Amino acid sequence: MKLKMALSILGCVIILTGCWDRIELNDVSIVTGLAVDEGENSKYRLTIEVVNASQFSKNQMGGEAAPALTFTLEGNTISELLHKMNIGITRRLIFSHTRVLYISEGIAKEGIIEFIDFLDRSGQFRNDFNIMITKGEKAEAFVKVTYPIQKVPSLKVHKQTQSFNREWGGDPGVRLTDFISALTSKGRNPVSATLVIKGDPKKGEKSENNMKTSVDTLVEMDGMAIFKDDRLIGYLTVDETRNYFWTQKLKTTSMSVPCSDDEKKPEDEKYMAVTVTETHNKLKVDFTNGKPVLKVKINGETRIEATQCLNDLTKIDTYKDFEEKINRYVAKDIQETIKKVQTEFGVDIFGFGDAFNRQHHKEYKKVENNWDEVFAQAEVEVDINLHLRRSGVRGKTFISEIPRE
Amino acid sequence: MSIFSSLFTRKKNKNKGKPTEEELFKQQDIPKQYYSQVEKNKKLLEELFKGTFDFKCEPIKIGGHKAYLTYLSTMTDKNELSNRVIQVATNHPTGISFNNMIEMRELYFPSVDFKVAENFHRVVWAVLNGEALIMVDGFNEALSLGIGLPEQRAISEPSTQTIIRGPKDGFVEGLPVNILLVRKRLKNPRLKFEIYQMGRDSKTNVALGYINDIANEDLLKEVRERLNKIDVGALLDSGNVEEFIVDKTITPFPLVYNTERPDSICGHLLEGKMAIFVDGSPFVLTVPTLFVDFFQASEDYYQPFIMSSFVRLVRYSSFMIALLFPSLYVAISTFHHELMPTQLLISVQAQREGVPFPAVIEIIIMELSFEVLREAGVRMPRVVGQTVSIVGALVIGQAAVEAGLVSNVLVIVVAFTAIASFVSPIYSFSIATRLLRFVVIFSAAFMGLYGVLLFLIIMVIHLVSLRSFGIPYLAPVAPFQPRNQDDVFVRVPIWLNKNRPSYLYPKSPVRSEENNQPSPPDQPVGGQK
Amino acid sequence: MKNILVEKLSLWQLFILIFIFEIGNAAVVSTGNDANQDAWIAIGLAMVFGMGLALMYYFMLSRLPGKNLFEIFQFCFGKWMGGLLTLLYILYFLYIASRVLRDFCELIVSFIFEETPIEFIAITMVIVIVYMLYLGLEVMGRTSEVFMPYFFSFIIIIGIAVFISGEMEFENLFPILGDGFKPVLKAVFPQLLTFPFGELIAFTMIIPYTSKFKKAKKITLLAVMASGIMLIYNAVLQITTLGVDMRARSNFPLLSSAREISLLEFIERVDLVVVFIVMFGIIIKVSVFFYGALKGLELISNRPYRMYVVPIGAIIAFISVKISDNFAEHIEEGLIVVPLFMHVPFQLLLPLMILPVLLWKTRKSKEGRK
Repeated sequence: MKLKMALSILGCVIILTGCWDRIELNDVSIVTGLAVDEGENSKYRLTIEVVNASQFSKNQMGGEAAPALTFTLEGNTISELLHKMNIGITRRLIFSHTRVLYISEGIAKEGIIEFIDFLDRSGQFRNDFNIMITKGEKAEAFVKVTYPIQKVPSLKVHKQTQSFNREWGGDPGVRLTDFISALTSKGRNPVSATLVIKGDPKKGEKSENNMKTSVDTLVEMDGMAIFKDDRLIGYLTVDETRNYFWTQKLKTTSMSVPCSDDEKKPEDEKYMAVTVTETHNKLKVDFTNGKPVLKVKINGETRIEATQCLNDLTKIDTYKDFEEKINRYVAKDIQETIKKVQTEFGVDIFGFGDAFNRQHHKEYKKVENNWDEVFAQAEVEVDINLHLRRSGVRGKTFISEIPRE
Repeated sequence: MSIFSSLFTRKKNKNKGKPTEEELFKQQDIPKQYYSQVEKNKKLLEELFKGTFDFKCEPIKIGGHKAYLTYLSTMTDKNELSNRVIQVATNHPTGISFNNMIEMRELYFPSVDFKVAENFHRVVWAVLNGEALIMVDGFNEALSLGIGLPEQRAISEPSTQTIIRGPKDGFVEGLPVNILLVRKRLKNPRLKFEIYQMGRDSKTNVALGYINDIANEDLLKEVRERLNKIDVGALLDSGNVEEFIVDKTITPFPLVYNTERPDSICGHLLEGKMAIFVDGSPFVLTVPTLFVDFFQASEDYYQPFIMSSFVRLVRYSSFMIALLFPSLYVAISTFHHELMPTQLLISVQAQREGVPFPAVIEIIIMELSFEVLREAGVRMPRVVGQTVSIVGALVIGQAAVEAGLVSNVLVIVVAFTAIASFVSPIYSFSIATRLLRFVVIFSAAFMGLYGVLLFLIIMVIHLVSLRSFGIPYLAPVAPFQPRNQDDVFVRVPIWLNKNRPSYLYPKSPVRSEENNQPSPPDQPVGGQK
Repeated sequence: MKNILVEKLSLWQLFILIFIFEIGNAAVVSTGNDANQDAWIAIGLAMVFGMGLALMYYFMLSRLPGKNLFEIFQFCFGKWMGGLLTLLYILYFLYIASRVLRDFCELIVSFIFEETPIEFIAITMVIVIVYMLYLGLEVMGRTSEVFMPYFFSFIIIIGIAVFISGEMEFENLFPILGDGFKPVLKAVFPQLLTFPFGELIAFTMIIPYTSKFKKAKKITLLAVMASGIMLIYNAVLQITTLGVDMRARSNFPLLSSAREISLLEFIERVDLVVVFIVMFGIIIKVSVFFYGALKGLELISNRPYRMYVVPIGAIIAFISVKISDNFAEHIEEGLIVVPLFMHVPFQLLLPLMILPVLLWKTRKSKEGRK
């Protein structure tokens, strides 16, 4: 009996004192985007984007309002700023649904390690948001550009990169953990995707932007940024980003391969459009004569989607010929990109160092501390092995049947 | 494991087919010999039917011969019996002699349907069939008269456990009729019914039914003991008995199973359980009761086994839904916003926009009003019941949402929970779920998912500590008994279910040794080459 | 509950208890970090040694069937000396129980309830444990039987889900033994051997109560092996998902790995499921140590252990909160002080010292019987 008494008293204590972490859904604002700029008076200028959920309700009360709203503060640490945001907005913020972290060029050049630590340490942030370097405009402009389908700007960017990553491979698909493990590894340097604004950012803030079929202002993907440690040192274009991604996790992409090997002006050249699927990419570092040779090996399947060439696609020889052309084309592209990174930036963003470590652990230990220099001087071999499997639902192209004068 | 291996390896059937009458009785250890000394037969019969109250063996005189009239009182029509047999036999002048049973029948009971039972097996059979048996001294055969079943009030479909396929009769308020319904299905001389009188004022007849060669002796002793201990003013329903015989009263879970369905009682008896019939109550209890019993409907055994296995899994999951769904909603929407995908979170938040209550209060208001509605629907006259449900649906469902008092999602949660809580085949079990639901909602409101987990763990600890007549309530899951898994979460085909559940320690653990798996004929039908 | 005084555990229940006990908090806190990407090899090695330890414990018990460790102490050293040893072990068990509990509390307050005081978590957990132990060993066995399928399948499913989400990189496992065996051995001894495998010493209080003591040896070894394999799986999962560095930096790597899950754009952020796994593992682990201590008290004081459940439970909750001021202190104690100064003596040295005495005494008694 005494036990029951004790238990019930204890139970009362618990029930009466519980609920420290309780927040009603009505009392929170969902943060979807964070934009970090250099502050004018202090270290950072942080802009958050929160969802205005009432705009997503079926029975809206109070008419049209913006689907998301932003708020900006300046301060010295991101963490403090995030807690201080209620200086201007009403509800508590939750960050678990943050979709995009925008970092302005200026900040990135000075080094971002200081606030990356906060994101890594905090239990609130997840690993599923994109890290984006913003080119041109300030980062805070990016969270204000609306879009008619995905009304919340960061959700739009998130979806956009996801689709782009899957369809064409122009987004390196970098998440927080990838970024950090690249930072901590000596055999790899971090990269991150970049964004630009097309059009007038001021117009993009208004919801009239959404009324048009062709929106005035649009956030676009613009390749990727290369870091040396945590400092931004340069950019790659969208096409080069794809080439970079070829060596990483690219699954599907599509490209235009010239029909003939001789160099012509682009307008004279005939192309075939090729879709690549099922690729498997492997990095290897061979160690010959005391020098590392970087090897990229890519296997995959391709499919012809369209052709301007006149070759007869019902013949085996044509397939073989095309296959070779595709392989050569891709190899050249990738080779060029790696060369460019080697010469212009001299940092290993591909993870050759990690691959080297896995394959030749002892040799790697010797060069570990100056790996980037070794990388910059190493030879590159690209071995592409894409199989042309089929060519759509037609064999010969009808172009070859058209009577010509 | 053997269950599965025999499912897939197709052993050729060496099936002997169903046992002959001879084998059957031999199995049950019943002698065949019918003696011409009637006393001997009477003794044998009394031995066989010992302990069952409705067995009657009354001495009569037929034409001066010493004779016994034997019948099961629950299975035979009293009026018919007295009019057409007893009165005829006693009123007839003595001294008219007959040489065999057929002659006797012609003399005394010319208009009654009859059979001659020439051996003891037939005699037993006749009694079990509800015939009146006349054994006359000096003859080595007996006469069985088909009197017919007693008149009964129209047996209707059970109102609490309706099914689609399967027998549609249900128990009624009269004890003899209920026993008849069981006896009709189980023609086994070892099926015993013991009678008890309980209640100082009511003197209610309570019958304890069991199959002697299946039910465990110790369990039986325990049940008898508990029944004998009952000292009460009046017993008005089997529910009163239930409260006296459970192992533990302070628990939301029912420790005694009750049903209105004779077929499900038969199933339980055959597993080795005992049934308790209370006069005046259409609900019959079975003990010992396990947690899994409440997820088995008798229809499971009449539908294809794949289907009923699926339905059973649905039942288990809807138990969890009925128990946890509202609390999960509370926990996630007030503690763990990160658990919802972004889009879902935004639309849930959009709906909660402008709702004046915290989620807990909101859900408790809704759950309570639902309970009120349900209670009103049950108590009201049938005719008004419909009005209540319409008003309820309109007021609570639509108007509350439109007025912005509760959110749409919440109505979905409450409605789905309510429906899920109706899935349990036994009403008394769904009461437990209803009650615990409130506890877990509070727990979730204070501690989020951690609270839900704490609740679940405490609930399971409580469940495993429960016993029904000494049998662990969660058997055969905890303690885990791999041999008894064939009728728990899924049901295997009946021909595979060869063993009785061993947690009940049945006297004869095996249902049938034979491999009864059906198979197509070896030869092609129609004699193709 | 009236006439059931002898508590018996079935072999299957023993298996489950050992399995959950071993995985318990070992699955959550990062283990074998010294071995870097070879942590799984280290765990495998520790498992083999752990089976050796289990054999030794069983051997001790089998010299005097039906007696638990503390009764063996009394048998060997008489009432006073044995009592002293028992007392030391009781304190050890209680301390470890509190540490394990603290592990969980830290996890909850750093991942889920950032504002909730740690005392609250400790007290609520202890209430559950007290309730379970009050109902007895059998209830503990059966409860773990109910939760075992979930416990097991959730761990497996996390791995599969991470794999399908495409977050696993098996390259992280290479190079295998890149720096030779040294770091692996360093990870095995004393850390991995004593935690979790050496902690089996607590089962010397439970194994004597199994229904078939003869077969308990096989079951114990099987369970240690099964849990070892599970831990290897778990380590591989963490290394492939997080990479070595990230794993070493994570306070709770399994949780961090589960965060990577993202399926169908709907099943994501399921790390709370991990909390459930952990929670049940912790409950069992604390209960086993707790039970050991209670049995010891029962032996010393000659009173049924149920008397002590509530007060000792309160003490465990209290110690677990006061054990260290901050997380770093807690972890450092756990990695350095506890293995060397508590685990090694209590799991290895003392049993090894007792073993010859036990052998001598039992030999005499056996001869005497003849």
